[in-house]
Amino acid sequence: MPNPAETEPPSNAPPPQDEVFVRAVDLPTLSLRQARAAVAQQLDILSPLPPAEVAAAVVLIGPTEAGLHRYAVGLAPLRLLAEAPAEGRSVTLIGRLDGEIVAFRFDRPRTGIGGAGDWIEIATIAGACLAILLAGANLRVDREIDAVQARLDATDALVQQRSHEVAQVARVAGAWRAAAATRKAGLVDCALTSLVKANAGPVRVAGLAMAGGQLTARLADPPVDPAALKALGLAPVATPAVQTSVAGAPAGAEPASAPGEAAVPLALAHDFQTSAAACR
Amino acid sequence: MPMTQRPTALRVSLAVLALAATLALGVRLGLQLGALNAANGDLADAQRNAADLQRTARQGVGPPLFEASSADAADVLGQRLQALGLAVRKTDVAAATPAGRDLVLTRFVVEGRGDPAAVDRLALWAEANARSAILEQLTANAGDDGKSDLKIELDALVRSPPFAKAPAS
Repeated sequence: MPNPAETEPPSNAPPPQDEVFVRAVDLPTLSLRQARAAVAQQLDILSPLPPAEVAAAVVLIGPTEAGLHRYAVGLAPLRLLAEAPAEGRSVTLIGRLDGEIVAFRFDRPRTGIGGAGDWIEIATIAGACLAILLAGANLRVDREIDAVQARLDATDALVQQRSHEVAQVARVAGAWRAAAATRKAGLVDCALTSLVKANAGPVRVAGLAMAGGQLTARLADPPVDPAALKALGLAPVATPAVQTSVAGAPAGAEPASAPGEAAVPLALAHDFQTSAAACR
Repeated sequence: MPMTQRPTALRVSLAVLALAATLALGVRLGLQLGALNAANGDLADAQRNAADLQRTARQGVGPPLFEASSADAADVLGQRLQALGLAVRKTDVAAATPAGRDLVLTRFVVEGRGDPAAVDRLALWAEANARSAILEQLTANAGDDGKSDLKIELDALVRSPPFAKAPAS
């Protein structure tokens, strides 16, 4: 005898409605498991839809006159099961066999697509979380780049400013070194010492002029030993180096230092010139 | 709508969107890190360059002869020369050229009087401070009293103290 609980819907259930395609199958077994296995083997024959798109549920109706057992086989599209409201792991659908309402309980399909869907959901959530983290890292690195760029700009400006300073210093230093190489202040001391040495005693100097690395000394009196002066690097010159002129200096003895200037005999020369290289 | 009830197409679209966003952000982060590394490298180079230039500039032309503001430099030099035994009548600054790092190459024109010994001391002093001063010109005309009228042109490196300002005249 069919189980009334399986053949009749609950009294508080919604109005019965055919949701599944129902076929009757007579089998020699009372085992629902064997019946399900037999139905699964014959699914391509029993189902109006491709077997891959349907799920089957089996309900024992009762014995037949031929000694077999009649089963109601409910065939429902997988799409229908997937869209049915969630009630745990099974879905109950209503079918009708020979006017009788039969409630079929289908397992919720856990096909390959459903499993992949779960993984897709997990991957989506993980991807979204990772994207959020990456977005935060992007913002942070953006700020870091801006800060480094600002420091780089400031440093570049500093480098430019210092480059100008260094160029200016190099220019001034070049001129300084060139001047320092020719303008030796020690020349004054050397010349005065040489005058004293050559005169073998104190000497009266009327004037002294140093410019451009050349020193010219004007003696108040003619030197005692002009040759000694020359030996010490003090060469006589005819041209007055200082503003005052040498009175009564006759022309035509020594070559003048500049054209047109009056030459002075060596013995009468009062002006002596030397340089850092010549002074000894 | 719960996630489990979303259509597969929507779920796949969301997954693809998340994957694309993740990939795009990852690629952008990689590029940003590359740019950051490059900027850091450039910054290090620039800082090294700036330090080198600073060292070079600090070497300057030479050590300063003395430290004084541009307004006081002539007075300071006058005092130095007086200490050498010269009677300084007038000290002028004829020219001033910046020589880096607060140094100013200054040309002084000094008029005064002094005996030959003072002139010799002046020459030796200038020789001793040859890195800071150059005796550009010296003219001495002896007078009857044994002293000479002097005109001196001296180039000297003077350090101006930071924020030194000339007094308002």
